[in-house]
Amino acid sequence: MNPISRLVMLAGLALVVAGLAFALGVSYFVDHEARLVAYDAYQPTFESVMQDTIDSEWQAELTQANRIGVTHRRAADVHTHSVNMGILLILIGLLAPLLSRLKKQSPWVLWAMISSAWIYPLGLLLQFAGLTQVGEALAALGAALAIAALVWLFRNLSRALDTINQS
Amino acid sequence: MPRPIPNRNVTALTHFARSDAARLLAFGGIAFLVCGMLTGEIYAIYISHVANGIIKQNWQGVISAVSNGDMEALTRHFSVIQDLTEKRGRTMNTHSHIAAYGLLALVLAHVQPYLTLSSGTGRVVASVYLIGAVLQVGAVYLSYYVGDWLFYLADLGALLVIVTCGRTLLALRSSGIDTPPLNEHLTEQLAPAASRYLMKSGLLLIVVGMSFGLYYAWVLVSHDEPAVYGAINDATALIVDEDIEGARQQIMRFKRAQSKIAITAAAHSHAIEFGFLMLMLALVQRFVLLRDQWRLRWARALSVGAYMLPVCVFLATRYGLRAAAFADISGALVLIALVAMAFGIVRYTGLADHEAGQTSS
Repeated sequence: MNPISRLVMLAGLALVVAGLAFALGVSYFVDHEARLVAYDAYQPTFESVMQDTIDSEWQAELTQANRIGVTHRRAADVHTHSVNMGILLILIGLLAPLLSRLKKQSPWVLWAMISSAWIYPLGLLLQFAGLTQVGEALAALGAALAIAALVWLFRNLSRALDTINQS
Repeated sequence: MPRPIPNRNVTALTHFARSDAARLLAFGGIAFLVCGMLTGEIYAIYISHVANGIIKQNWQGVISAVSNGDMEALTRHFSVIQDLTEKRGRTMNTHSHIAAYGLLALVLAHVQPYLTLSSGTGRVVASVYLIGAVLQVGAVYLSYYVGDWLFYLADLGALLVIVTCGRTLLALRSSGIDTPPLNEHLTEQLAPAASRYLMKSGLLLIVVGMSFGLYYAWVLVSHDEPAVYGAINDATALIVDEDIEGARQQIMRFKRAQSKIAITAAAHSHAIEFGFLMLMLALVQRFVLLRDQWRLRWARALSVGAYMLPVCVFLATRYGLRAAAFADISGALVLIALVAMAFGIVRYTGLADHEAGQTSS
Protein backbone atom coordinates (compact mmCIF):
# COMPACT_ATOMS: atom_id res chain seq x y z
CA MET A 1 0.00 0.00 0.00
CA ASN A 2 1.12 3.53 -0.79
CA PRO A 3 2.73 4.92 2.47
CA ILE A 4 1.02 8.31 2.18
CA SER A 5 -2.39 6.63 1.68
CA ARG A 6 -1.79 4.57 4.80
CA LEU A 7 -0.74 7.66 6.75
CA VAL A 8 -3.87 9.59 5.72
CA MET A 9 -6.10 6.64 6.66
CA LEU A 10 -4.31 6.21 10.02
CA ALA A 11 -4.68 9.93 10.79
CA GLY A 12 -8.39 9.71 9.89
CA LEU A 13 -9.10 6.63 11.99
CA ALA A 14 -7.20 8.12 14.96
CA LEU A 15 -9.30 11.29 14.65
CA VAL A 16 -12.52 9.23 14.62
CA VAL A 17 -11.41 7.41 17.79
CA ALA A 18 -10.45 10.74 19.45
CA GLY A 19 -13.83 12.29 18.53
CA LEU A 20 -15.79 9.30 19.85
CA ALA A 21 -13.73 9.14 23.07
CA PHE A 22 -14.24 12.87 23.66
CA ALA A 23 -18.02 12.51 23.31
CA LEU A 24 -18.10 9.52 25.65
CA GLY A 25 -16.03 11.44 28.21
CA VAL A 26 -18.28 14.51 28.05
CA SER A 27 -21.51 12.52 28.20
CA TYR A 28 -20.29 10.35 31.10
CA PHE A 29 -18.48 12.97 33.21
CA VAL A 30 -20.32 16.21 32.30
CA ASP A 31 -23.86 15.60 31.12
CA HIS A 32 -25.93 13.31 28.96
CA GLU A 33 -28.51 15.75 27.65
CA ALA A 34 -26.89 19.00 26.59
CA ARG A 35 -29.88 20.88 25.21
CA LEU A 36 -32.09 19.95 28.13
CA VAL A 37 -29.53 21.37 30.57
CA ALA A 38 -29.45 24.60 28.56
CA TYR A 39 -33.25 24.95 28.84
CA ASP A 40 -33.23 23.94 32.52
CA ALA A 41 -30.75 26.71 33.16
CA TYR A 42 -33.25 29.45 32.18
CA GLN A 43 -35.82 28.54 34.84
CA PRO A 44 -33.90 30.06 37.83
CA THR A 45 -33.56 33.34 35.88
CA PHE A 46 -37.33 33.70 35.46
CA GLU A 47 -37.95 32.61 39.07
CA SER A 48 -35.53 35.35 40.24
CA VAL A 49 -37.29 37.94 38.08
CA MET A 50 -40.65 36.87 39.53
CA GLN A 51 -39.33 37.15 43.08
CA ASP A 52 -38.14 40.73 42.42
CA THR A 53 -34.49 40.00 43.17
CA ILE A 54 -31.91 42.66 42.34
CA ASP A 55 -31.01 42.98 38.66
CA SER A 56 -27.42 41.78 39.05
CA GLU A 57 -28.66 38.46 40.46
CA TRP A 58 -30.90 37.42 37.55
CA GLN A 59 -28.43 38.85 35.04
CA ALA A 60 -25.69 36.63 36.51
CA GLU A 61 -28.02 33.61 36.27
CA LEU A 62 -28.87 34.47 32.66
CA THR A 63 -25.20 34.88 31.72
CA GLN A 64 -24.49 31.50 33.31
CA ALA A 65 -27.40 29.88 31.40
CA ASN A 66 -26.21 31.36 28.09
CA ARG A 67 -22.66 30.16 28.78
CA ILE A 68 -23.95 26.61 29.38
CA GLY A 69 -25.69 26.72 25.97
CA VAL A 70 -22.52 27.83 24.12
CA THR A 71 -20.31 25.30 25.95
CA HIS A 72 -22.61 22.40 25.09
CA ARG A 73 -22.81 23.47 21.45
CA ARG A 74 -19.01 23.58 21.21
CA ALA A 75 -18.73 20.14 22.84
CA ALA A 76 -21.12 18.68 20.25
CA ASP A 77 -19.16 20.46 17.49
CA VAL A 78 -15.83 18.97 18.64
CA HIS A 79 -17.38 15.47 18.54
CA THR A 80 -19.16 15.71 15.18
CA HIS A 81 -16.36 17.55 13.37
CA SER A 82 -13.69 15.12 14.63
CA VAL A 83 -15.67 12.10 13.45
CA ASN A 84 -16.62 13.66 10.09
CA MET A 85 -13.11 14.99 9.37
CA GLY A 86 -11.79 11.53 10.30
CA ILE A 87 -14.17 9.82 7.84
CA LEU A 88 -13.16 12.33 5.15
CA LEU A 89 -9.46 11.57 5.73
CA ILE A 90 -10.04 7.81 5.44
CA LEU A 91 -11.91 8.33 2.15
CA ILE A 92 -9.15 10.58 0.80
CA GLY A 93 -6.58 7.97 1.86
CA LEU A 94 -8.46 5.35 -0.17
CA LEU A 95 -8.54 7.62 -3.24
CA ALA A 96 -5.01 9.08 -2.91
CA PRO A 97 -3.33 6.57 -5.28
CA LEU A 98 -5.31 8.12 -8.14
CA LEU A 99 -3.32 11.33 -7.61
CA SER A 100 0.13 9.80 -7.68
CA ARG A 101 0.14 9.52 -11.45
CA LEU A 102 -0.76 13.16 -11.95
CA LYS A 103 0.90 15.54 -9.55
CA LYS A 104 4.15 15.72 -7.63
CA GLN A 105 2.66 18.12 -5.07
CA SER A 106 -0.05 15.67 -3.96
CA PRO A 107 1.87 14.59 -0.78
CA TRP A 108 1.98 18.25 0.32
CA VAL A 109 -1.73 18.63 -0.20
CA LEU A 110 -2.42 15.40 1.69
CA TRP A 111 -0.26 16.66 4.57
CA ALA A 112 -2.24 19.93 4.50
CA MET A 113 -5.47 17.89 4.60
CA ILE A 114 -4.27 15.85 7.61
CA SER A 115 -3.12 19.01 9.47
CA SER A 116 -6.35 20.90 8.80
CA ALA A 117 -8.52 17.93 9.79
CA TRP A 118 -6.82 17.92 13.22
CA ILE A 119 -6.46 21.71 13.62
CA TYR A 120 -10.18 22.44 13.10
CA PRO A 121 -11.56 20.25 15.94
CA LEU A 122 -8.62 21.37 18.11
CA GLY A 123 -9.79 24.97 17.65
CA LEU A 124 -13.30 23.94 18.72
CA LEU A 125 -11.85 22.07 21.70
CA LEU A 126 -10.04 25.22 22.83
CA GLN A 127 -13.33 27.15 22.57
CA PHE A 128 -15.00 24.46 24.68
CA ALA A 129 -12.19 24.86 27.24
CA GLY A 130 -12.83 28.61 27.40
CA LEU A 131 -9.96 29.84 25.18
CA THR A 132 -12.43 31.45 22.78
CA GLN A 133 -10.24 33.76 20.67
CA VAL A 134 -7.33 31.36 20.15
CA GLY A 135 -9.86 28.60 19.45
CA GLU A 136 -11.77 30.65 16.87
CA ALA A 137 -8.53 31.64 15.08
CA LEU A 138 -7.33 28.03 14.99
CA ALA A 139 -10.71 26.72 13.79
CA ALA A 140 -10.85 29.35 11.02
CA LEU A 141 -7.30 28.45 9.93
CA GLY A 142 -8.12 24.73 9.93
CA ALA A 143 -11.35 25.19 7.98
CA ALA A 144 -9.74 27.47 5.36
CA LEU A 145 -6.81 25.06 4.89
CA ALA A 146 -9.19 22.09 4.59
CA ILE A 147 -11.32 23.83 1.96
CA ALA A 148 -8.24 24.88 -0.08
CA ALA A 149 -6.88 21.31 0.03
CA LEU A 150 -10.30 19.87 -0.86
CA VAL A 151 -10.70 22.18 -3.88
CA TRP A 152 -7.27 21.01 -5.14
CA LEU A 153 -8.23 17.37 -4.50
CA PHE A 154 -11.59 17.78 -6.26
CA ARG A 155 -9.93 19.30 -9.34
CA ASN A 156 -7.20 16.68 -9.60
CA LEU A 157 -9.31 13.66 -8.66
CA SER A 158 -11.82 14.72 -11.34
CA ARG A 159 -8.98 14.78 -13.89
CA ALA A 160 -7.81 11.35 -12.71
CA LEU A 161 -11.36 10.03 -13.09
CA ASP A 162 -11.49 11.41 -16.63
CA THR A 163 -8.34 9.43 -17.49
CA ILE A 164 -10.08 6.26 -16.23
CA ASN A 165 -13.01 7.13 -18.47
CA GLN A 166 -10.73 7.55 -21.52
CA SER A 167 -8.79 4.33 -20.84
CA MET B 1 7.16 -5.57 11.72
CA PRO B 2 4.53 -5.40 8.95
CA ARG B 3 2.47 -8.53 8.63
CA PRO B 4 0.72 -9.72 5.48
CA ILE B 5 -3.05 -9.94 5.20
CA PRO B 6 -4.39 -13.49 5.66
CA ASN B 7 -4.81 -14.40 2.02
CA ARG B 8 -2.36 -12.83 -0.41
CA ASN B 9 -3.98 -14.52 -3.40
CA VAL B 10 -7.06 -12.33 -3.32
CA THR B 11 -7.03 -8.78 -4.57
CA ALA B 12 -8.46 -6.01 -2.43
CA LEU B 13 -11.51 -5.94 -4.68
CA THR B 14 -12.43 -9.59 -4.28
CA HIS B 15 -11.45 -9.44 -0.62
CA PHE B 16 -14.05 -6.71 -0.13
CA ALA B 17 -16.71 -8.78 -1.89
CA ARG B 18 -15.92 -12.04 -0.08
CA SER B 19 -14.81 -10.95 3.38
CA ASP B 20 -17.42 -11.59 6.06
CA ALA B 21 -16.30 -8.56 8.04
CA ALA B 22 -16.55 -6.25 5.02
CA ARG B 23 -19.98 -7.66 4.15
CA LEU B 24 -21.23 -7.32 7.71
CA LEU B 25 -20.07 -3.72 7.86
CA ALA B 26 -21.32 -2.83 4.38
CA PHE B 27 -24.82 -4.27 4.84
CA GLY B 28 -24.97 -3.10 8.47
CA GLY B 29 -23.91 0.36 7.34
CA ILE B 30 -26.54 0.54 4.62
CA ALA B 31 -29.22 -0.75 7.05
CA PHE B 32 -28.18 1.92 9.59
CA LEU B 33 -28.35 4.61 6.92
CA VAL B 34 -31.83 3.51 5.81
CA CYS B 35 -33.01 3.45 9.46
CA GLY B 36 -31.36 6.83 10.07
CA MET B 37 -33.10 8.39 7.07
CA LEU B 38 -36.47 6.92 8.09
CA THR B 39 -36.00 8.25 11.63
CA GLY B 40 -35.07 11.63 10.14
CA GLU B 41 -38.24 11.70 8.02
CA ILE B 42 -40.41 10.72 11.02
CA TYR B 43 -38.61 13.28 13.19
CA ALA B 44 -39.07 16.07 10.64
CA ILE B 45 -42.72 15.34 9.80
CA TYR B 46 -44.24 14.19 13.11
CA ILE B 47 -42.05 15.50 15.92
CA SER B 48 -39.97 18.58 15.10
CA HIS B 49 -42.63 20.86 13.57
CA VAL B 50 -45.31 19.91 16.13
CA ALA B 51 -42.99 20.21 19.13
CA ASN B 52 -41.64 23.55 17.90
CA GLY B 53 -45.16 25.07 17.84
CA ILE B 54 -45.98 23.83 21.36
CA ILE B 55 -42.61 25.00 22.73
CA LYS B 56 -43.26 28.49 21.30
CA GLN B 57 -46.68 28.61 23.00
CA ASN B 58 -45.14 27.59 26.31
CA TRP B 59 -42.43 30.25 26.11
CA GLN B 60 -45.29 32.76 25.73
CA GLY B 61 -46.85 31.08 28.78
CA VAL B 62 -43.59 31.60 30.71
CA ILE B 63 -43.81 35.38 30.05
CA SER B 64 -47.47 35.47 31.19
CA ALA B 65 -46.68 33.40 34.32
CA VAL B 66 -43.82 35.72 35.32
CA SER B 67 -45.92 38.86 34.74
CA ASN B 68 -48.78 37.37 36.82
CA GLY B 69 -46.40 36.13 39.55
CA ASP B 70 -47.75 32.58 39.10
CA MET B 71 -44.93 30.22 40.14
CA GLU B 72 -47.02 27.08 39.57
CA ALA B 73 -47.77 28.06 35.95
CA LEU B 74 -44.09 28.93 35.39
CA THR B 75 -43.00 25.46 36.56
CA ARG B 76 -45.71 23.83 34.42
CA HIS B 77 -44.64 25.69 31.25
CA PHE B 78 -40.95 24.90 31.82
CA SER B 79 -41.73 21.23 32.38
CA VAL B 80 -43.60 21.10 29.01
CA ILE B 81 -40.65 22.83 27.29
CA GLN B 82 -38.16 20.47 28.91
CA ASP B 83 -40.23 17.37 28.12
CA LEU B 84 -40.64 18.25 24.43
CA THR B 85 -37.01 19.37 24.13
CA GLU B 86 -35.97 16.04 25.61
CA LYS B 87 -38.23 14.04 23.26
CA ARG B 88 -37.05 16.03 20.25
CA GLY B 89 -33.41 15.91 21.33
CA ARG B 90 -33.37 12.13 21.83
CA THR B 91 -35.10 11.46 18.49
CA MET B 92 -32.67 13.79 16.71
CA ASN B 93 -29.73 12.14 18.48
CA THR B 94 -31.00 8.74 17.33
CA HIS B 95 -31.28 10.00 13.74
CA SER B 96 -27.85 11.65 13.61
CA HIS B 97 -26.02 8.86 15.46
CA ILE B 98 -27.46 5.98 13.47
CA ALA B 99 -26.65 7.74 10.18
CA ALA B 100 -23.11 8.52 11.40
CA TYR B 101 -22.59 4.90 12.51
CA GLY B 102 -23.80 3.82 9.07
CA LEU B 103 -21.26 6.04 7.31
CA LEU B 104 -18.50 4.88 9.64
CA ALA B 105 -19.44 1.22 9.07
CA LEU B 106 -19.26 1.72 5.30
CA VAL B 107 -15.85 3.39 5.49
CA LEU B 108 -14.56 0.62 7.81
CA ALA B 109 -15.82 -1.93 5.27
CA HIS B 110 -13.62 -0.28 2.64
CA VAL B 111 -10.59 -0.41 4.96
CA GLN B 112 -10.97 -4.18 5.69
CA PRO B 113 -8.74 -5.45 2.84
CA TYR B 114 -5.78 -3.50 4.26
CA LEU B 115 -5.97 -4.78 7.85
CA THR B 116 -3.78 -7.38 9.50
CA LEU B 117 -6.74 -9.22 10.99
CA SER B 118 -7.60 -12.88 10.50
CA SER B 119 -11.07 -13.44 9.02
CA GLY B 120 -12.36 -14.68 12.40
CA THR B 121 -11.07 -11.64 14.30
CA GLY B 122 -12.30 -9.33 11.56
CA ARG B 123 -15.78 -10.87 11.85
CA VAL B 124 -15.78 -10.43 15.65
CA VAL B 125 -14.61 -6.81 15.41
CA ALA B 126 -17.28 -6.01 12.80
CA SER B 127 -20.01 -7.74 14.87
CA VAL B 128 -19.00 -5.93 18.07
CA TYR B 129 -19.04 -2.61 16.18
CA LEU B 130 -22.60 -3.23 14.95
CA ILE B 131 -23.78 -4.43 18.39
CA GLY B 132 -22.21 -1.38 20.06
CA ALA B 133 -23.84 1.00 17.58
CA VAL B 134 -27.29 -0.61 18.01
CA LEU B 135 -26.90 -0.56 21.81
CA GLN B 136 -25.90 3.11 21.89
CA VAL B 137 -28.58 4.33 19.49
CA GLY B 138 -31.35 2.12 20.92
CA ALA B 139 -30.57 3.12 24.51
CA VAL B 140 -30.55 6.84 23.66
CA TYR B 141 -33.93 6.55 21.91
CA LEU B 142 -35.58 4.40 24.60
CA SER B 143 -34.18 6.47 27.49
CA TYR B 144 -36.98 9.02 26.97
CA TYR B 145 -39.66 6.34 27.43
CA VAL B 146 -37.94 4.00 29.92
CA GLY B 147 -35.59 6.05 32.10
CA ASP B 148 -32.26 7.83 32.34
CA TRP B 149 -30.46 4.69 33.57
CA LEU B 150 -30.36 3.59 29.91
CA PHE B 151 -27.73 6.25 29.29
CA TYR B 152 -25.19 3.95 30.94
CA LEU B 153 -26.11 1.25 28.41
CA ALA B 154 -25.63 3.87 25.67
CA ASP B 155 -22.17 4.64 27.09
CA LEU B 156 -21.35 0.92 27.02
CA GLY B 157 -22.41 0.77 23.35
CA ALA B 158 -20.24 3.80 22.55
CA LEU B 159 -17.32 2.19 24.38
CA LEU B 160 -17.69 -0.97 22.23
CA VAL B 161 -17.61 1.18 19.07
CA ILE B 162 -14.48 3.01 20.30
CA VAL B 163 -12.74 -0.29 21.14
CA THR B 164 -13.49 -1.73 17.68
CA CYS B 165 -12.31 1.45 15.93
CA GLY B 166 -9.16 1.36 18.10
CA ARG B 167 -8.57 -2.29 17.15
CA THR B 168 -9.03 -1.41 13.47
CA LEU B 169 -6.54 1.45 13.88
CA LEU B 170 -3.94 -0.94 15.36
CA ALA B 171 -4.54 -3.45 12.56
CA LEU B 172 -4.09 -0.73 9.94
CA ARG B 173 -0.96 0.55 11.69
CA SER B 174 0.66 -2.88 11.58
CA SER B 175 -0.26 -3.44 7.92
CA GLY B 176 2.57 -2.81 5.52
CA ILE B 177 3.86 -3.23 2.02
CA ASP B 178 2.43 -6.75 1.76
CA THR B 179 -1.14 -5.48 1.75
CA PRO B 180 -2.69 -5.28 -1.72
CA PRO B 181 -1.71 -2.08 -3.52
CA LEU B 182 -4.59 0.38 -3.61
CA ASN B 183 -4.00 1.62 -7.16
CA GLU B 184 -4.05 -1.99 -8.43
CA HIS B 185 -7.82 -2.12 -8.09
CA LEU B 186 -8.96 1.50 -7.86
CA THR B 187 -9.15 1.84 -11.62
CA GLU B 188 -11.30 -1.29 -11.84
CA GLN B 189 -13.39 -0.20 -8.84
CA LEU B 190 -14.17 3.17 -10.42
CA ALA B 191 -14.72 1.81 -13.93
CA PRO B 192 -18.57 2.01 -13.95
CA ALA B 193 -19.88 5.35 -15.17
CA ALA B 194 -22.08 5.53 -12.06
CA SER B 195 -18.95 5.38 -9.86
CA ARG B 196 -17.30 8.31 -11.56
CA TYR B 197 -20.54 10.29 -11.53
CA LEU B 198 -21.05 9.70 -7.79
CA MET B 199 -17.39 10.42 -7.03
CA LYS B 200 -17.39 13.81 -8.75
CA SER B 201 -20.83 14.83 -7.42
CA GLY B 202 -19.93 13.70 -3.91
CA LEU B 203 -16.61 15.56 -3.84
CA LEU B 204 -18.26 18.73 -5.12
CA LEU B 205 -21.03 18.45 -2.50
CA ILE B 206 -18.43 18.09 0.28
CA VAL B 207 -16.53 21.17 -0.99
CA VAL B 208 -19.76 23.20 -1.16
CA GLY B 209 -20.93 21.93 2.25
CA MET B 210 -17.60 22.76 3.92
CA SER B 211 -17.40 26.21 2.31
CA PHE B 212 -20.92 26.94 3.50
CA GLY B 213 -19.94 25.64 6.96
CA LEU B 214 -16.98 28.04 7.15
CA TYR B 215 -19.18 30.96 6.09
CA TYR B 216 -21.90 30.01 8.56
CA ALA B 217 -19.41 29.53 11.44
CA TRP B 218 -18.50 33.21 10.98
CA VAL B 219 -22.19 34.25 10.86
CA LEU B 220 -22.92 32.09 13.92
CA VAL B 221 -20.17 33.58 16.08
CA SER B 222 -20.59 37.17 14.90
CA HIS B 223 -24.39 37.39 14.57
CA ASP B 224 -26.64 34.42 15.28
CA GLU B 225 -25.39 33.39 18.75
CA PRO B 226 -25.32 37.00 20.02
CA ALA B 227 -28.86 37.39 18.56
CA VAL B 228 -30.15 34.39 20.57
CA TYR B 229 -28.66 35.55 23.85
CA GLY B 230 -29.47 39.20 23.17
CA ALA B 231 -33.14 38.28 22.61
CA ILE B 232 -33.51 36.37 25.88
CA ASN B 233 -31.64 39.12 27.77
CA ASP B 234 -34.00 41.72 26.27
CA ALA B 235 -37.07 39.59 27.03
CA THR B 236 -36.06 39.29 30.70
CA ALA B 237 -35.21 42.99 30.97
CA LEU B 238 -38.58 43.95 29.43
CA ILE B 239 -40.46 41.77 31.97
CA VAL B 240 -38.65 43.63 34.75
CA ASP B 241 -39.74 46.92 33.09
CA GLU B 242 -43.31 45.48 32.90
CA ASP B 243 -43.39 45.71 29.08
CA ILE B 244 -45.05 42.30 28.60
CA GLU B 245 -45.86 42.71 24.89
CA GLY B 246 -42.24 43.67 24.17
CA ALA B 247 -41.07 40.64 26.18
CA ARG B 248 -43.35 38.34 24.13
CA GLN B 249 -41.86 39.68 20.88
CA GLN B 250 -38.33 39.17 22.17
CA ILE B 251 -39.03 35.60 23.27
CA MET B 252 -40.33 34.84 19.76
CA ARG B 253 -37.14 36.38 18.35
CA PHE B 254 -35.19 34.10 20.71
CA LYS B 255 -37.03 31.00 19.41
CA ARG B 256 -36.70 32.04 15.75
CA ALA B 257 -32.95 32.64 16.14
CA GLN B 258 -32.52 29.24 17.83
CA SER B 259 -34.45 27.51 15.03
CA LYS B 260 -32.35 29.30 12.40
CA ILE B 261 -29.12 28.04 14.00
CA ALA B 262 -30.42 24.45 14.20
CA ILE B 263 -31.77 24.42 10.62
CA THR B 264 -28.67 26.01 9.06
CA ALA B 265 -26.38 23.61 10.92
CA ALA B 266 -28.56 20.73 9.63
CA ALA B 267 -28.20 21.99 6.02
CA HIS B 268 -24.39 22.08 6.43
CA SER B 269 -24.10 18.64 8.05
CA HIS B 270 -26.52 16.95 5.60
CA ALA B 271 -24.54 18.27 2.61
CA ILE B 272 -21.29 16.82 3.94
CA GLU B 273 -22.80 13.51 5.06
CA PHE B 274 -24.51 12.98 1.70
CA GLY B 275 -21.19 13.82 0.03
CA PHE B 276 -19.52 11.08 2.09
CA LEU B 277 -22.31 8.66 1.21
CA MET B 278 -21.86 9.36 -2.50
CA LEU B 279 -18.08 8.74 -2.30
CA MET B 280 -18.61 5.44 -0.47
CA LEU B 281 -21.30 4.33 -2.89
CA ALA B 282 -19.00 5.26 -5.79
CA LEU B 283 -16.53 2.67 -4.49
CA VAL B 284 -19.15 -0.12 -4.41
CA GLN B 285 -20.92 0.48 -7.75
CA ARG B 286 -18.80 -2.36 -9.14
CA PHE B 287 -20.79 -4.69 -6.85
CA VAL B 288 -24.23 -3.34 -7.74
CA LEU B 289 -25.52 -6.11 -9.98
CA LEU B 290 -27.66 -3.98 -12.27
CA ARG B 291 -27.27 -2.90 -15.88
CA ASP B 292 -24.92 0.11 -16.33
CA GLN B 293 -27.87 2.21 -17.43
CA TRP B 294 -29.79 1.48 -14.21
CA ARG B 295 -26.74 1.97 -12.00
CA LEU B 296 -26.34 5.44 -13.53
CA ARG B 297 -30.05 6.22 -13.13
CA TRP B 298 -30.02 5.38 -9.43
CA ALA B 299 -26.77 7.33 -8.97
CA ARG B 300 -28.40 10.37 -10.59
CA ALA B 301 -31.56 10.01 -8.47
CA LEU B 302 -29.46 9.81 -5.30
CA SER B 303 -27.41 12.81 -6.41
CA VAL B 304 -30.51 14.94 -7.09
CA GLY B 305 -31.92 14.11 -3.64
CA ALA B 306 -28.54 14.68 -1.95
CA TYR B 307 -28.18 18.15 -3.49
CA MET B 308 -31.81 19.18 -3.04
CA LEU B 309 -32.19 18.19 0.61
CA PRO B 310 -29.61 20.58 2.16
CA VAL B 311 -30.82 23.43 -0.08
CA CYS B 312 -34.48 22.84 0.91
CA VAL B 313 -33.53 22.48 4.59
CA PHE B 314 -31.72 25.83 4.40
CA LEU B 315 -34.67 27.47 2.60
CA ALA B 316 -36.94 26.30 5.43
CA THR B 317 -35.52 29.21 7.50
CA ARG B 318 -37.26 31.54 4.99
CA TYR B 319 -40.15 29.60 3.48
CA GLY B 320 -41.06 27.37 6.42
CA LEU B 321 -43.03 24.17 5.90
CA ARG B 322 -43.24 24.41 2.08
CA ALA B 323 -39.45 24.13 1.79
CA ALA B 324 -39.41 21.50 4.55
CA ALA B 325 -41.86 19.38 2.52
CA PHE B 326 -39.49 19.47 -0.47
CA ALA B 327 -36.65 18.47 1.88
CA ASP B 328 -38.70 15.45 2.98
CA ILE B 329 -39.31 14.46 -0.67
CA SER B 330 -35.57 14.80 -1.40
CA GLY B 331 -34.76 12.59 1.60
CA ALA B 332 -37.21 9.98 0.31
CA LEU B 333 -35.48 10.06 -3.12
CA VAL B 334 -32.07 9.38 -1.51
CA LEU B 335 -33.62 6.59 0.56
CA ILE B 336 -35.20 4.86 -2.48
CA ALA B 337 -31.97 5.08 -4.51
CA LEU B 338 -29.95 3.70 -1.59
CA VAL B 339 -32.31 0.75 -1.17
CA ALA B 340 -32.14 0.05 -4.94
CA MET B 341 -28.32 -0.03 -4.77
CA ALA B 342 -28.44 -2.29 -1.70
CA PHE B 343 -30.62 -4.76 -3.67
CA GLY B 344 -28.03 -4.74 -6.46
CA ILE B 345 -25.26 -5.53 -3.96
CA VAL B 346 -27.31 -8.37 -2.42
CA ARG B 347 -27.70 -9.86 -5.91
CA TYR B 348 -23.93 -9.61 -6.48
CA THR B 349 -22.97 -11.29 -3.20
CA GLY B 350 -25.53 -14.04 -3.84
CA LEU B 351 -24.02 -14.71 -7.26
CA ALA B 352 -20.46 -14.63 -5.84
CA ASP B 353 -21.44 -17.15 -3.13
CA HIS B 354 -23.12 -19.38 -5.71
CA GLU B 355 -20.03 -19.35 -7.95
CA ALA B 356 -17.72 -19.99 -4.99
CA GLY B 357 -19.91 -22.97 -3.99
CA GLN B 358 -19.78 -24.43 -7.51
CA THR B 359 -15.98 -24.01 -7.67
CA SER B 360 -15.42 -25.75 -4.32
CA SER B 361 -17.76 -28.64 -5.22
